[in-house]
Amino acid sequence: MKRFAYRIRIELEDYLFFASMEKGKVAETAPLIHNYALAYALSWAISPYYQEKQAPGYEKQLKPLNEEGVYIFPASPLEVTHRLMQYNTTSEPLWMMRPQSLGYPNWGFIKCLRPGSRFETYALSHNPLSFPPRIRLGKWMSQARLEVEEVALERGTGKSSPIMVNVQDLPRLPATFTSMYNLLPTRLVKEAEWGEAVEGYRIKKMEGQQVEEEFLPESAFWWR
Amino acid sequence: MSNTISWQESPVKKRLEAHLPGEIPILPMRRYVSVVILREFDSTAVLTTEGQTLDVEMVRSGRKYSEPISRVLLQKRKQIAPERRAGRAFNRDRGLGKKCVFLNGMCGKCPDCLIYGFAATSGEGAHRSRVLTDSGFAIRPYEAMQRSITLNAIDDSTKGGVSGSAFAEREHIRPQVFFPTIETAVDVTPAEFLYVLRNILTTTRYGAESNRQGFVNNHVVALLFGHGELISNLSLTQGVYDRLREKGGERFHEFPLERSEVEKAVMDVLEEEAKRSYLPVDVCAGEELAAFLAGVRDLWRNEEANAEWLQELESDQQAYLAKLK
Ligand SMILES: [Zn+2]
Repeated sequence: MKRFAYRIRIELEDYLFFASMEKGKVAETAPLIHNYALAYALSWAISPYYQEKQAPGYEKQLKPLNEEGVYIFPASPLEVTHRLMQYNTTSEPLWMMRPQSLGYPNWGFIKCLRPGSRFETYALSHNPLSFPPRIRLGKWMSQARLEVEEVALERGTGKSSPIMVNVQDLPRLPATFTSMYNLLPTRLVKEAEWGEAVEGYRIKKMEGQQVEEEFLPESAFWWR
Repeated sequence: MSNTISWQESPVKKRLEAHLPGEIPILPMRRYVSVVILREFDSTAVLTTEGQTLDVEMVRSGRKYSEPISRVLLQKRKQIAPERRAGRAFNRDRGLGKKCVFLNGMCGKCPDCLIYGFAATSGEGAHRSRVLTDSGFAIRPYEAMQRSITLNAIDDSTKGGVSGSAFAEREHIRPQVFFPTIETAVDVTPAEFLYVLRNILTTTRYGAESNRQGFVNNHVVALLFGHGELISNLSLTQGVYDRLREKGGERFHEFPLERSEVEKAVMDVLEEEAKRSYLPVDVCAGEELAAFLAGVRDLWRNEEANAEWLQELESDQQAYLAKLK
């Protein structure tokens, strides 16, 4: 049961890169931020400095957060611009932070997000939360600034949600959605709709002078 | 006067011990020490991508002044790579990390791998970096900087001695490009921090090894101890821009910048930010920083103290490697 809701704005202060898609010689960064990445960036979940295996233990590290009653949704873009950068693994092997043996070509392009790009998301919690003013994201541990505002929330049901949600974290699969991102390790969808009403929360936020209401479906890390 | 200088007894170690962990933690503890560095480039040659055009990015000019400007960029990989190289050369001189090849086959056991991170090329295993950096942004807009460089060259040549050829102009320009940057070490021991600091202070050339240009002065302006990061490079540069513009007027960027002015602006931004921070930040700057750096110099120049420090660096890391097993 969540009692507090926070609207979070994220602004990049450096180039952000994570490989979400590869098209030929271009490794692309999707214009959104995965909620698991946010949970780590906020230090809600922690992983050791040394990892024996490259695969991170998401389920094991994230599930304890459900008992703490905290959740954060994936962040949607408000304003995003890209930049193409060339890389060469022979002179800058650590830039990709991924060994060549995993199939990266020796050289190619990275499509990253530019500083100034902005995102928005929501966090829900049973207890009041405080947030760090800045976090680090992506393969290059790029800095981003947070602006957090508490918003009113009410328990309720709804048939659709305008925000980006993580399919892995939902108790019930949506019937339709407008866009889907296959962002490892899970799928994220936007503007999901369900056949019948699902449990969740209505939040009230100020949009300029107007109060707007949004429905956020009940979610928990690695629910499915 | 006693000549005994010891790492164990040094005020440098005492200052670091008050904030940094005594042993390398397995899990993040979030003990931060940031080195605020004003990087002064004497040539822009090194800042090019593929050796041709300057790497430039359009960003908001200041925090107060919002119009966008193009800034010359110092990518984070261009800052860290030469510093790691300096550290690795130092290690090799001491017979360490000889089997560690930066390009492929990192050993995972030397100070470089353990502090700056590595990913195994064969087999598995990866270590996150405990040194965090951001891309650096020049203070002045690219166009104005170019203009002032040309003006300077003309100045020099009218004073005589310099021919007007393009080649001579290039030889004599002093662009004084300043990048306010912050390098943050997280969860490093005092001995490990000194290793990172050594790399920063002894690296004078950035860019390709073959490049004869690219001499850089790294001026350490402050050390910040705390539980988080105070400010990003972009935000710091924007804050500095605001102050210089307020003081020097709209056309401040058409003239070369004075280092002392820039340093003062950097300190103003840091202090303002520290005041706003919810968590305590311990700022070491000015005379205190000068004394700290003098202490560091004494340590490195003293054979016994230097050996003592390196021994501790090794034992810190050996203890950590034993914990990982
Ligand atoms: Zn190594």
